[in-house]
Amino acid sequence: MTAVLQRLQSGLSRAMDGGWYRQLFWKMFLVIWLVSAVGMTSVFLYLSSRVDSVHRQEVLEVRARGQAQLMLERYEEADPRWLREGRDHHRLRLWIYPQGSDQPLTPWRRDPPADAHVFNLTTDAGAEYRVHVPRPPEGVFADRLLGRLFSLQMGLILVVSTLSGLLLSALVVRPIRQLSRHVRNLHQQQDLSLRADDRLSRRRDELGELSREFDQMAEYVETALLNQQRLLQDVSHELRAPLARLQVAAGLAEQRLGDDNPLSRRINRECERLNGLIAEIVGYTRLQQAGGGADAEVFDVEQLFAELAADVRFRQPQRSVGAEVQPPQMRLRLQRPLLQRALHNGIDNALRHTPEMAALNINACLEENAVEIRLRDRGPGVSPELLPKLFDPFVRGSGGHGEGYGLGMSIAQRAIIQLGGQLEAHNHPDGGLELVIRLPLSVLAS
Amino acid sequence: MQSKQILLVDDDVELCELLADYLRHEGFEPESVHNAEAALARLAQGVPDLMVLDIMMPGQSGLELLQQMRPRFKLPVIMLTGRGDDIDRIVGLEMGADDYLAKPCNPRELLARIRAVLRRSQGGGAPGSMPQHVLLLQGISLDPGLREVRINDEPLELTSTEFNLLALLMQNAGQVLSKELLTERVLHRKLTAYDRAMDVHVSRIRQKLATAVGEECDLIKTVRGQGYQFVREER
Repeated sequence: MTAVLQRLQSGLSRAMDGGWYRQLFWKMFLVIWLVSAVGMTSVFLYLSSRVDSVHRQEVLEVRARGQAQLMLERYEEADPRWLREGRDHHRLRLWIYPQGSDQPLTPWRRDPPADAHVFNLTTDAGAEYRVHVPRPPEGVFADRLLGRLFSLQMGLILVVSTLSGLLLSALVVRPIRQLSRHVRNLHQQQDLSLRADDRLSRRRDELGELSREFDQMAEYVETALLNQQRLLQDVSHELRAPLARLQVAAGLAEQRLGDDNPLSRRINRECERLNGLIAEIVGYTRLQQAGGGADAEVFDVEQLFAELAADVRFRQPQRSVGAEVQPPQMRLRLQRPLLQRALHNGIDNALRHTPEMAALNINACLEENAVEIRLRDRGPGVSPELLPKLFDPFVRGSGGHGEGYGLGMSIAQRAIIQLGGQLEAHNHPDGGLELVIRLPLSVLAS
Repeated sequence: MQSKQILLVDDDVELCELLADYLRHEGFEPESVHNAEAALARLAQGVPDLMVLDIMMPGQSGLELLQQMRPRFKLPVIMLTGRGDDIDRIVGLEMGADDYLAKPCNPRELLARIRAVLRRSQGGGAPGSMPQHVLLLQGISLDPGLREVRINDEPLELTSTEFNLLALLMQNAGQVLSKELLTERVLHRKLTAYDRAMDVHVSRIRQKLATAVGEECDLIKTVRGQGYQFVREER
């Protein structure tokens, strides 16, 4: 019971938060509620007024019959007071006709009203009469309506229509919500192998059909992406063999031309470039496939940073690298090669696009709900047009040394996504590009 | 001096021909086979001075070949791995390959590695880098003459690279040796960027020591950002 209440409460607060009038649930609820309440109320009012008039007619007839009986008994006994008696003691004014005659016994000057209630009466003496009794004026219409609106029945109608409104909209909206949550998971977790909830896709109605269609679409996209990756990977692999031969052939040419022949140096350099490009494509496609191949391991973050800093010192001895981990003993449990690769690519990017004198900082700290790793350079930063495209494949910054292939940052982002985290880039207010990696707290090794 | 025999094991026939040409020009005596079975058959006829082994071969992979031949043939092996296949590299080194090179590679680099590996497998190290007498530290005895390591009188199986590395570390026990120095003295080449070969060798030795001692082994310490150190006995 409490669980139901809690769910209701959370549902309500969620509904109120997100512009409740925009939500399908409340729209449907309102429409269903209005239609059913209005419909049921009018039926109720119509029926109750019908029942009412029949009832009043019956009461009127009973009263009139009693009075007419009394009057006619006296009339037949030739009691001259019969009329007066009738007039004094009874409010009802009756027109009494002997059966088959148009001449009333009653000496009223006016004729009975056309809509008067008519019934037949047989006295004990056996004579038959026809009695006309005018209907009394009805009460004010609005009064009666108000009386009915505040009746118990009306309350019941409201409760029933509210419940049916809630039930119907929940029936339609809940599966839609499930489906949309599912689709969100699909693209957020980048895992196209996810399929809709069984209960949803087993439904035989339109919603079940919709969810099955979604599943089929996801399957199609998954295979299409897989094929694309496979093709890319196969092509890269196939390119490696001729490239390896080309390099050896270039080496042979070098042996003949001499070591410092500019032509052979040039050939070698281009070979290296091709080689690097192929390696990056292979790495990129491999990361697209889940897992990246490595198992999660526990490691010390400071140690990782030290290794990265050593690599930087190796490549650019002039570059100053600051590394800080807070708390210093932070240990993580994740696929280390992926994180290392992401950081390495980020660093690589900085080394390539910033002057050697620009310092590099790499910090890790614990935030409220994430492990945050920030990599910041003190270079010129990235132009605002390029910034949103930074993680797209084959996007290259101008002013680089022309050695990149535009894959490094996409690979970094892929790697971090594989780890269940996020990678963002922005220009630091004090200058330089800052990459922010956020990893879920679950990667912390206790 | 007799020219060195080099066995190229790679399924790419044309590449083997080109490489053989290249190495012949540099004064080696290359020979090529194109699958693991042929390599084993060739080894059975006589062991060459060095083997260059491609990890990615159809059928039996280079790693399987390495595993099969290791107990019988003790020749130095340089393996060629796909670029970015860190796992292959580490597994290969753990299975006793002496060095690795990403393929495709510049033949000049391959040549340098071949020379380095040959130098270290013959001399057992640069002059003066090998201790002259038996070292005894923390219950580990290392005999440079017999090239044998014993823990509590039980012999410990080490590859030649691992032996040289352990000898260097034990000889300089208490001192921190940088990765640069270790790579130069043990692998006879310069440390390159993102070079993890030394780390793999060290972790391999640690594992072997741990299995031999039967408990966690912290005799070789990692000094962050500096290198490795063999812990000196506390007195």
